Amino acid sequence: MNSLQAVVAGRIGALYVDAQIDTGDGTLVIVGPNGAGKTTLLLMLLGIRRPHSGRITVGESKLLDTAANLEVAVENRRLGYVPQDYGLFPHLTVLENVEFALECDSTGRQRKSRRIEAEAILDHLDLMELTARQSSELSGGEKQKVALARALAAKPQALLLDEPLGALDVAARHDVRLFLAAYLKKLDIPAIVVTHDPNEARTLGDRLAVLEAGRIAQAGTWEELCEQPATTFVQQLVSRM
Amino acid sequence: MAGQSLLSAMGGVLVVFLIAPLLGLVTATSFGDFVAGLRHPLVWPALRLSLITTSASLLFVVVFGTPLSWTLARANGRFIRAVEVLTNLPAVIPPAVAGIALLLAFGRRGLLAGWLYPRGWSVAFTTLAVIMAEIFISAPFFVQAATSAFRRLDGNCLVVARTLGASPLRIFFRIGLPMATPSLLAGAAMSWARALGEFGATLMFAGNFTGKTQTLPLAIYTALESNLCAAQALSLLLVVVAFAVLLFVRVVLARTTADEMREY
Repeated sequence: MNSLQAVVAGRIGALYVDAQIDTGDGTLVIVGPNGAGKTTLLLMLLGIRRPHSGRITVGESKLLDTAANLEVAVENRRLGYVPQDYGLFPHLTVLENVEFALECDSTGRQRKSRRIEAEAILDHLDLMELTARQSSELSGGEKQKVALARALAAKPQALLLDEPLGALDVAARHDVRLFLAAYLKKLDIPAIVVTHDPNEARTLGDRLAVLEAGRIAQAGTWEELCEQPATTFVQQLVSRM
Repeated sequence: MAGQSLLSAMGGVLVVFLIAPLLGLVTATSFGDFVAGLRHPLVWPALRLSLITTSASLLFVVVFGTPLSWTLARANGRFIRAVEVLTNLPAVIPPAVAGIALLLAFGRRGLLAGWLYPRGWSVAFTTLAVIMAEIFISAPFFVQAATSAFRRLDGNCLVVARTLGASPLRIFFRIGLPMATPSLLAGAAMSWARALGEFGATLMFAGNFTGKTQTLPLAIYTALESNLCAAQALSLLLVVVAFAVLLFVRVVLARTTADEMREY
């Protein structure tokens, strides 16, 4: 599996982000308090926010290298993104949401072929019963799965999830967390999950990067963080479990 | 409690003032007068011209105003803010000033006269001038509504669409436009109603020629001197149309709000 590696630095509003991350062979959880710059970091990786300097690669594929004046546009980065409120298109059905992702590739396939593939993706995630529904008719957990299906339909080279359980009620959170943890393990592309919740951080990621005030305070496995917490926040994070 | 009654009573004064003229119009016109008024020779050409010119101006405003609003909503910077203020200006300047401004731009001695008139394009005092006056006055109503509708769109949807590889045109046509459609329809209805009622700029820039530049408001103005019955009938017609437009806007926007509420 390729890994997503990034070194980015830049000021967004009052926050200066200066971070180095590496997903390694699996899922990296970026955890940190509110306002630490987690979402800003994701937006920099996606290309929505522009760092002053940086380098982003997924395997051999270079997405940004400011030193070489290279910047791949958001549309061409092939990074799957699931925002906190899922960003489902409200005027489209579940099936059409996934079909939209397939429409955007440049292969120029027929509508029928796109529909068959969209149905296969939804079937894979046990969402076939929901194909004709609008996003307003879905539960939080269902929206999460549809957003995931849509992101994966575009065949991304990495997946970025922003607070994937943040918009769910407590009752749904447990089930969706278990589903996501199992799903991310099976995924053959690197993933980054942003969260502020230590429970999610521990169960969803193979490795963690703790972001504090725009900088990575510590990175490693959960066990490594427990053994030698580098900052007071990391100490509090691991002790809350 | 007494304080609330006082506030309600003060509000009531304004309501009475706003309703009284409309009530006067309705009560002064019997059904027979209304029908007779509508048969006046001024009415049909004016009605026909108003429908043609407002349709043309609405088409122009929507076709060019929608991309403008999308750009205004998505871009930042001083230049864009300045363009936004300028495009809203015709909504607040007096229509007579708009008429003079149009004459000084497109008239025989206007800014573009040296380019237009040698080519035989005489604009002022033609049906085209009516359409241009209506566009000038009514466009801001649509652009304002469309810009704020595009600004209200869920930013995450647009970001996701980009990450999926969608081109700017695909995002505009497949995501932005359908998501904002109800508000765009409401804006278009308000803009059309404003164009239908346009009087001052049309009179100064296009004149008042039956069948050529005499729209419904100008026909009312003309009829007032010769046939009060026709003026009243046309006025009543315009009030009914305005009421229908407002009703349409409220229904469309209420449905949008309900849809948005259901999302949360």
